[in-house]
Amino acid sequence: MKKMKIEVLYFAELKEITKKDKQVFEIDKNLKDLVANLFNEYPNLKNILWDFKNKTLKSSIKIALNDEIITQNNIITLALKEGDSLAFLLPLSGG
Amino acid sequence: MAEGSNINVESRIYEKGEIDFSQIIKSIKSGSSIDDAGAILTFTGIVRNSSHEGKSVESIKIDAYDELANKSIQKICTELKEHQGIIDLKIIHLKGEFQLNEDLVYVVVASAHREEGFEVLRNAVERYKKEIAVWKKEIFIDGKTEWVH
Repeated sequence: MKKMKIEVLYFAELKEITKKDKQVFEIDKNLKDLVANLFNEYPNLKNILWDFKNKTLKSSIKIALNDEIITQNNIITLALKEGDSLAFLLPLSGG
Repeated sequence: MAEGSNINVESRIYEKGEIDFSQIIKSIKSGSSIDDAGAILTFTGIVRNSSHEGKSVESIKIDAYDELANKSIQKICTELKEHQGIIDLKIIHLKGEFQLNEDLVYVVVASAHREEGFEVLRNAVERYKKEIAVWKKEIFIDGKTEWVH
């Protein structure tokens, strides 16, 4: 299967841990694959984003896909397509 | 900005230093319906010297997802401007590194009368805190840091 390129945008802690504003990952099909790639490269992110008990993203983490917040059940199965831009949003804290 | 030039300050995320409070007031006062207003109410969020847990804060850093935050700011402004008696509303959130007392955010409401102005001002403040994609990191005087959630 041809891999697709997904751009991940990093904010707040994620920017500090990765030392990047954004990064392109090549993945197979969905958010689960992307998260596996992400945690493989940055194991520290798993503690911040992952709910180990329920084996999914923490419920406090929101996903923004192409500058829109996505709300759907079982978000980890979110389908992605070539050229998508995605961000993991930690709980917000405006000034 | 040249004196007397046409000022239009958009509601959005700005870099620290890119805009100041007086420009926002000038922009509000140059609005096409400002003659209908009887009040301008303002809220300025500034850097406090202590965290919610009581730790001593030295400075803070604000990071923002501009595209997403700007959409949420626009949504809040559009919805609240529909309230009866609201002439104009601007929400300006700054990002960057800030020392104690420095301004972080401005909410400015022009209203026909004070009652609806106070109500919408409060509403706008509560909403930007919850809805816009902005994150705050506190740098404590002991050198430790913490992102606020």
